[in-house]
Amino acid sequence: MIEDDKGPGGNRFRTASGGRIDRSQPVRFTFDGRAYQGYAGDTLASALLANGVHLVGRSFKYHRPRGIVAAGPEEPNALVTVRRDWRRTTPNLRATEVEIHDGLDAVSQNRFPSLRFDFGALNDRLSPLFPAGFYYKTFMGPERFGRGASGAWARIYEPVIRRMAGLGRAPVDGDTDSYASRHAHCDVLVVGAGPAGLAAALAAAEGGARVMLADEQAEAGGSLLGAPDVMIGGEPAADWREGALARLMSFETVTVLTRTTVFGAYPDHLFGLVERLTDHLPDQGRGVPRERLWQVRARHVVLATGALERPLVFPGNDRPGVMLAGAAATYLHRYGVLVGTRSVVVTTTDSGYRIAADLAEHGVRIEAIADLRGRAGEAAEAAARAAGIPIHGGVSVLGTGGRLRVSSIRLALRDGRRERLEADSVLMSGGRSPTLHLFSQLRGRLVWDARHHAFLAQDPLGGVSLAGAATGLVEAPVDDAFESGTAAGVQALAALGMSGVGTVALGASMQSLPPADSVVPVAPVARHLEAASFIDFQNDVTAKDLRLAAQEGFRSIEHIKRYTTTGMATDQGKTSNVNALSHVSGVLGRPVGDIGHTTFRAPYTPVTFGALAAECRGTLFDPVRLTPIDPAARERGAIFEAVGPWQRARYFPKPGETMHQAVARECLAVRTSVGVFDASTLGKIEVVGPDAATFLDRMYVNAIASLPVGRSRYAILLNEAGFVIDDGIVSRLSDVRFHVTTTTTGAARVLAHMEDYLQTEFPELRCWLTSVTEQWAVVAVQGPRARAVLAPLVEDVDLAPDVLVHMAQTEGRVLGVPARVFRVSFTGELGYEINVPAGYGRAVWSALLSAAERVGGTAYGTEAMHVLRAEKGYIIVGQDSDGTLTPRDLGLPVGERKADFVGKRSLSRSDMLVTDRPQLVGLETEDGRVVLEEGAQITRDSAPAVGTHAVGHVTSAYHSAVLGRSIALAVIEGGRAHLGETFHVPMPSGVIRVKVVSPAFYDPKGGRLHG
Amino acid sequence: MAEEMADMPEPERALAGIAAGVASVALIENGPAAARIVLRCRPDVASLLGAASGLDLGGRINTARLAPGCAVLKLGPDEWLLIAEPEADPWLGARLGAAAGAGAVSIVDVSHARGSLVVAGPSVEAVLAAGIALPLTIDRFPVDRATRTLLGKSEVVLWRRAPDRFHVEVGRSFLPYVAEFLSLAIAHEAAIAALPR
Amino acid sequence: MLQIRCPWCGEDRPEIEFRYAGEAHVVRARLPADESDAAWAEYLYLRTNPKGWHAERWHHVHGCGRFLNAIRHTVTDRIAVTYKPGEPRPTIDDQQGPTP
Ligand SMILES: [Zn+2]
Repeated sequence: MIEDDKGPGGNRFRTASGGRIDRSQPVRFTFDGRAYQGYAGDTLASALLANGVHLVGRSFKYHRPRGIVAAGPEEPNALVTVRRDWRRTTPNLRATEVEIHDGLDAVSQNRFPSLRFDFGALNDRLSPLFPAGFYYKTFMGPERFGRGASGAWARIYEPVIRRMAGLGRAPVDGDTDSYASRHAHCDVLVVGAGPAGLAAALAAAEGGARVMLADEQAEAGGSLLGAPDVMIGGEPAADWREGALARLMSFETVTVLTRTTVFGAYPDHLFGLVERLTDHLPDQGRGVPRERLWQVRARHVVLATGALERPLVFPGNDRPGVMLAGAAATYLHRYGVLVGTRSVVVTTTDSGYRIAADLAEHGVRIEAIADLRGRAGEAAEAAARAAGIPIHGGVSVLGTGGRLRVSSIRLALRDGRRERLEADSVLMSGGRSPTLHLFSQLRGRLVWDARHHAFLAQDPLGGVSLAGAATGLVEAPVDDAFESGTAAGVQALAALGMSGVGTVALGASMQSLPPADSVVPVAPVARHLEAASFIDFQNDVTAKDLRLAAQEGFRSIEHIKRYTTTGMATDQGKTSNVNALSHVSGVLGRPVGDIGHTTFRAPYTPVTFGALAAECRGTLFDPVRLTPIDPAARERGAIFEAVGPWQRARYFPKPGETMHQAVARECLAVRTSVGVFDASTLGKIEVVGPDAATFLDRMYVNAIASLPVGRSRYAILLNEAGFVIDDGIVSRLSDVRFHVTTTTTGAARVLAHMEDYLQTEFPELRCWLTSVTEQWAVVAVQGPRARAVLAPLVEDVDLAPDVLVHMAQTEGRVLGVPARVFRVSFTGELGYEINVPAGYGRAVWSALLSAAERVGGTAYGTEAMHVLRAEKGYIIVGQDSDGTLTPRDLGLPVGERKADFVGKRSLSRSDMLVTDRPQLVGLETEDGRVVLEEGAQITRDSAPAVGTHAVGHVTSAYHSAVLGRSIALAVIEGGRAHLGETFHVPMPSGVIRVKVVSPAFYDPKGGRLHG
Repeated sequence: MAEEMADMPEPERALAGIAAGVASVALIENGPAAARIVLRCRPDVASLLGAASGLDLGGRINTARLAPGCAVLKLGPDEWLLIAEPEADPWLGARLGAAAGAGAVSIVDVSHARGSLVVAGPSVEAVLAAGIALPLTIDRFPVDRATRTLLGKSEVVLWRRAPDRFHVEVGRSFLPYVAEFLSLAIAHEAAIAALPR
Repeated sequence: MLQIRCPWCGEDRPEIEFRYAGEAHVVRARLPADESDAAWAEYLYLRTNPKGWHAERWHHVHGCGRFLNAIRHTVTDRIAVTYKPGEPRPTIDDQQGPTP
């Protein structure tokens, strides 16, 4: 047995030469705090293996020691956390994909207190207690803890389980890295830059297509990077690769993206790609994007995604040092690393023999090839014999030995003898599965192919070509991959109506493929050994778990997946899928093809939230809208609140004032003097055309057609179901021109609602809607002194009370600025709303405020506005109504005299006429100092039992300074029939007694409006 | 009475003084001050109106036509955005109004409702593509193509003026967001270009 | 994200420019007052909800601003055809669409 971690910088398993690493550039990094050295070009996995480190993690459920299994994204075990600093830690990275750089700080996961000694490993001893569906069966009760979010699961079991079982920890604080994004469009997206992908990209580019080529590795080349001896078209693979890349780069129409994973395929050929920009580099400082999200719309896609080698299922197959044979070859040729010095190759394929011979040639002592099949191909067997490797055919594996690293393997030979072989590494060659995640996400159907023992793409799919090993050419020579890539590129061109340049030899089509290696299904594992035979390393699912699931009656593979968790998490079936299906197939006695496969969900490998958010973080998370008056309000010390996307001034405190004091002062000023308010956020729509009046008459409950020029009307908008969705003021500027206001948050919705009717129900009407929300800044001047404040500042406007009456409107100048002046009030006082072009808003607001202050007036904010309107019983749509209330419910006009308008018919549906519908009322607390809580429930009973039906709820509640007591609005079933009666508002601190009153608390006759 | 009035204040730009970017990637600056009118009418009226006003309303949807002192962007089948020099405001409105006569036309002044940015530089397509899902290469989005779309989470009108220059029309309150988004996209693009290869 | 061919713009545009607007060809009665409660309730609330081809409305709200109709397959998400409001619903040969 090789002793792990003898010391840093050993590189004892590094070959003397070879590989694509740069031996002139040593790289220092740490793993679990211990310093190691690798070389530029190493992954964390290859560098650790070079130093003899196999143990890299603990398993998900049983906390079994786990080692590196693979050399690519399919790695199920070697999940690590990489730490840049305390805010920038990334869990669940595959060590096989982490490129090392100076200062890289990686730690293992899922162990406590340390990797070599882990408390959680007790789970392993207790593993009979953790069968399939364990979580579902065990953590159900006790019932006294309740169910759901407050139940025992959520309160007791889940937190503990999450700590014990699980992948890495998410960082707690905000990510300080930045992320970029890019939309892109291309004719042909080629996924995978191995020989097939390169050939496809070249063929498509030569034909004039706009091509994007993406590969998840640090450099293009795929399998060529680990195959130095391979020839392509008579040229050494490395030279061909260089030439192909140079040629591709010479096209302006070609984009080559390395370190880029195509993680998902979405409708209409949209692909999600994440490009890793800086993780492989020492810290680049703030502002340099770490990753870039690409959203690529491709007309055609070539999937040259290769194939993934499968592990074999036998007892002890999860011990560190047991890994994929192809990975061992990759580590040798690409990274110059021997994964061990004494190996046993367990195989069901001929390529296992080739790899064994290859490793032997490079100095690894191959103790034996253990072929689970009866016999191998002659060529493969001859090569192995020539290398002097003992071959055992028809064997089964009884188990492996070793604690933190494999040290031996026990075999049952064909003749019944048993043999124990010493080995520091066991290499599995279980055949390869084409990587068809994207094909499946594109809704391509996969069909089981017994000859390959794999799922293959079934039908051609529009806009999709496959190339190379992804087609099932998994053991074919590289030339075939190249040819199939070229063919895919030409096919893409043909599909796009472009033609290839010159003649390209069309490679083997699927039908004429040479037979692949004879691959036998997973050799059945003896029943008593199933519990130690792992199928899904990442999720700790054994052959026994799958048998149990099948025995308990699960038949659908989707159910078995959920019950056992096989193929979940980052694995998504990459290594486990086929083995799981084969085993279930054996247990159920049904062919694999009948069982089907689970869904290959995006993302193919995990994607950071940072990349998905990209630029849309912080101040760019959502646009924050400011009114033209905003800077002036800030100078005045306003406190702001968010109203939809807008920031609005909520109140204007004087030094030392609380919010309550400021709001009371602002309200009293409006009632006794004058207040100035920024109402610019109101939605505004200009409706123009000969049929404008007819159109608005059909849209609003209120009569618009009869509205005279120069007059305004409060108007209520319903949806077709009869429910109030907005309100505002409709003003007639001329016969054919209306100025319509909407609520602040309803602006876009109302415009779309009106456009809908105008375009699709009333297309014969000649009028048009133009949003002018942002054209006009609106300054409301409200209060008994409003006219006095305004008078000196206006031109061409007759403010005389009998001329510009309540709900009249005119155009003129304010401060010399062309303005629309509306006499309207949302406060119940004499009031005007001055609309000026937005660029003048700040100046006009400031001038009006100065004038107001000279007569004891003040600026007021949205909080005072809310109180003032509630004192009058004016509703705010969306606060006092919730999309389920009719105008009748709210005590508003119902347009009885109009023949039709949107929503009218619904108002006479039987449900709308019942008397116990919720109705808007006012509430007065018995104790006027108590302000109710908005949203509080209302009951008739003074001591309602749990489960009592609430007859309504509080919608608005404030302290009213002018009334010297609290007020509230509420909706109560049949409320208007209960005026004067006492109801109850049960609160945690006790029941509050309230009296139902009219919602118009102040100046109910409305005399002040006409002042 | 008018003599007693204070001087009429100067109008404020939606977002003044923007000048950002990296020359090797793209630069952002304020678009020119402009008068803007949204014109709506049916096609038959449009041809009469075009003839009477001297504006070319006949272009294809999602294209821009230039007339002296005024650009005409056809953003919908019955919708034109006119972007004119500020002095053009009165005469433009008057000319259109006269041409419209009593016809079925909607002419609405939106001069203050919007602002604009000019984004120009060698990587301008890449910068805009950080937030815009439309294809922006010159073959798919040629000069004088103009359309409403989304940039990040803001609606914009995108108008290509030259192979390396775009005019971006934005609602007044969205202008700071769009300017910041594009500045960040430029910074990202510059940082990525500077990464070791 | 779908690509939707806007019949007004005459080109494919990304789904984010559009807002979904419910089933198409649900026509508001000329005189709603004459409708029975049952007929009106059906107009308001009952939709076909098919597994298969579905005629539906989209609003090119961040584009040309126009409403349009689309025939979309509710299983595959494929849009077979788009057309302008007021035009008759095209018939879709089921063979055209990929079967789920
Ligand atoms: Zn459109």
